[in-house]
Amino acid sequence: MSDTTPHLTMQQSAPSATGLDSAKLGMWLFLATEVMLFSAMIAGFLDMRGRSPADAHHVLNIPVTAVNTFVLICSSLTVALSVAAIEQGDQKRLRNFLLLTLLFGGTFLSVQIYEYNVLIGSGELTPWNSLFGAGFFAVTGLHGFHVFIGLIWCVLTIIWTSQGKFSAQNFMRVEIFGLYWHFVDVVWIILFVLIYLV
Amino acid sequence: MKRVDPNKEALQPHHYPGSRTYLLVFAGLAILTLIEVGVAYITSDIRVPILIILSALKALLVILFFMHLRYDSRWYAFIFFGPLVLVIPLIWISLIR
Repeated sequence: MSDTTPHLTMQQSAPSATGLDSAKLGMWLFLATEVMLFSAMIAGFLDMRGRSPADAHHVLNIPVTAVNTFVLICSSLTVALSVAAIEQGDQKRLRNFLLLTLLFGGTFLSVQIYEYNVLIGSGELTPWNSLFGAGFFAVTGLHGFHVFIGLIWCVLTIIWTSQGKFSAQNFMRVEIFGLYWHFVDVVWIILFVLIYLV
Repeated sequence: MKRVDPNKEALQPHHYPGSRTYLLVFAGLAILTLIEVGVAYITSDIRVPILIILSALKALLVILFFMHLRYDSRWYAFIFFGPLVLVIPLIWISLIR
């Protein structure tokens, strides 16, 4: 008797009636829930900011955060290039671009922690001294947590790459990691403007 | 009823953009970020609408090209953009209050 159960590789997910890859479909559904989560947080932050003094955000360091935003955009580029590399079956370039992603993502998170240290250390902005502060740390903290999860996921993807688990025909997990990372970048693009610049 | 190959999408070759397109999108994102920072120091009333349009442009560039929504199934776009029907009015109301 032949085995009719499809053999699932890292590329192929469980059978789907839609003809779409189930894992990728699941990731897009997850990202849709994330859109709602972050939107509720942002709406809450904007409401808190509206009840705070108009110059409450003047303690934030725009030049440093602008550079940090650029660093996160660089990490999105390296993730996109890593997908392009494995599409060509180039595992070495995939690993190198993922390592660069780890570097850029780690830098972003380190700068955010430094910013928190400066703000809380000086007492200029803390989660407990103003509504603006509470909203600021809640929203950027939630985003930072997502970056942290992304970094762990990036390390796992690098490990899977070094184990030779991806090829030109088999890279869905890299693509799904990329979707998550780019989404985190999209959220920051919006947060940077709404928190620091507006 | 026609049976759908469950791995159809996975087995088909992707037609995603290459490194050149990614680099162009990256350049666009970097330039838009620079413009945003410049606009932030303008004191005019149009500052906020311009900043929101610029950030929406940047987000769209990432979603369409880096996340491949321009090249993938329309279902993914429907799923991802669906919540925006609720989200955009929510953010807008919070912003203008």
